[in-house]
Amino acid sequence: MAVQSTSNQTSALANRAVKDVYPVSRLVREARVLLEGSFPLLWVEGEISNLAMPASGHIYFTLKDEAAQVRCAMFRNRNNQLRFTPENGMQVLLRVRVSLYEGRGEFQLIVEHMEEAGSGALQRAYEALKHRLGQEGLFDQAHKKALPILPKSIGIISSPDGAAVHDIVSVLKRRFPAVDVILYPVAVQGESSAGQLVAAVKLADQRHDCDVLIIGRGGGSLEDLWSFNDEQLARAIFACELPIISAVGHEIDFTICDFVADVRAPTPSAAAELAVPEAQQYMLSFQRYQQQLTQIIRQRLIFEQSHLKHLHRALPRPELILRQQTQWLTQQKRLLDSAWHHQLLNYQQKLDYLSVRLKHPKAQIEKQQSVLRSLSHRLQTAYRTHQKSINQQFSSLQFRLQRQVPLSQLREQQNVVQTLSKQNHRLMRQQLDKARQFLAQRVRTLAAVSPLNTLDRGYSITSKPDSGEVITVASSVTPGDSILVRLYQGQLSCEVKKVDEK
Amino acid sequence: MAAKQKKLDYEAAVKELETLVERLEEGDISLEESLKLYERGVLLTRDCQESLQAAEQKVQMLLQQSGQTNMVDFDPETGEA
Repeated sequence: MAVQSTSNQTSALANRAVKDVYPVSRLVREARVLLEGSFPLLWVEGEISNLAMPASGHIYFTLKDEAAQVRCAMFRNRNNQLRFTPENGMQVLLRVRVSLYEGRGEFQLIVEHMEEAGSGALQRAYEALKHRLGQEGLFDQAHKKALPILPKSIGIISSPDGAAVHDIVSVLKRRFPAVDVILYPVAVQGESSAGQLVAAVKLADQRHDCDVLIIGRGGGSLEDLWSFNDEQLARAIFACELPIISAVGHEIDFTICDFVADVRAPTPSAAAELAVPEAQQYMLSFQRYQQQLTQIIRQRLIFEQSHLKHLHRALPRPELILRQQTQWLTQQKRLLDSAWHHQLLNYQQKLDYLSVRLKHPKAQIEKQQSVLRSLSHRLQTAYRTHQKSINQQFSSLQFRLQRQVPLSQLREQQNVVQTLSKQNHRLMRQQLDKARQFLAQRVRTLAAVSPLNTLDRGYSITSKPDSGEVITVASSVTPGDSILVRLYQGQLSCEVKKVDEK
Repeated sequence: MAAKQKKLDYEAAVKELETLVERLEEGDISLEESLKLYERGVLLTRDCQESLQAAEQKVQMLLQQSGQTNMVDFDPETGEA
């Protein structure tokens, strides 16, 4: 039994070591932390019941609606600002934090602020103004101006010693320290607050030395935030040319200012975040651009390099061209040679063939020659035979002729002829001699009577040179006439000087 | 120098860089021009990065006294001018 108990304890210990076993307090505490962390400060509306107001000053009650209920606690430091005494059955609007009462392990709400639901005068005034301005179109989305992506300067309309300014400036510093901040100091609550807010908006708009305005303050009661529900402020914001971010109170607080502003931020810190981007993002984008630029230019350079290389390679090189040309020429020569050789062979073959064929005419000639020879032979033979026969005929005819002609008679006649011919010759010669002798005699006679012989003896013949008329009478001429005087040897050309007719 | 850098318009710089990169990416520009753009881009990014790193927040408060307005440096930690 004792052994078993020990073993049970051991296994329990072992279990504890393996599983994390919670003590109740830890479980409840962690549940509370979880609850408080999960819910923001929020507004809740319901009916009061089980109200208890002990001497401690704290107020405890149950808040319920038709379907559910929840325990609530309002501590003394909060409930002393109450303007009314809560009663059971009263409909209230609470601003609460969600929590858990560890002592009882009970889910409960910690009440920060309580007002009569829907029946408060401020609330009524707020609703009325909101409705009127809404009707006027002051909240219309069409009038909302866009925020600059990155303002160079940001204006803050808030209290210089409030938490809001501090929050905004520190967020801006963290996100984008290069952005300048201009604070327009105002009171954010109290009687003069609304007027100061209006003046600041107008001044900022007029000065225009920032690109965006943040108007706001930290959290507070409806009364605290009341100046941001001012109608004049709403109209000033509406008229302002600068884009305005409204950040009044906490996320759950809504003011007229929030509705009319171009952008509503849940808190002042959130407003600062809306106003500027993260400098880090810009830093990254600059880095990215730089990388991009470098990459692009590097690629471009690589491309240009390879392009250049390509061009360089594509450049015609003279030695290459020369080599190509030489190769081409060599090839052409080879082709030519081979073609020539081929042609030669071709011709040779043709020649061979023709020469083979040429033998045939030679044979033909020889054949013709032999034909001719035979024909010639036949001709000669025929001629000889024919001649022989003619000769024979001739001989026979001669023979017959010889037998017919009287040869002795012929010879006689011939002799007669010869004799006659000789006689004829002799007679002819005699006649010629006779004629010759007669002629000689005559010549001698002639010489004896020729004037030439007279001239020889000193006589002369005178004649007219033009007519050749022999002048025998002196009167046939007149002085001055030319006359020709013929002597035995030669003649004289004379001129008549005087004519003596006797 | 710091004051000059503060005047840098980061938005304009980013826009210019964007255009620059686009032009470079199009690639139909001369090598010379692309080198110029690259130089400009690198200079711009470096200037912006440097000025962002060196940037200090300047907080001022506008004071109105007897109708006169003037800017005074403001310390948000103490809430005092």
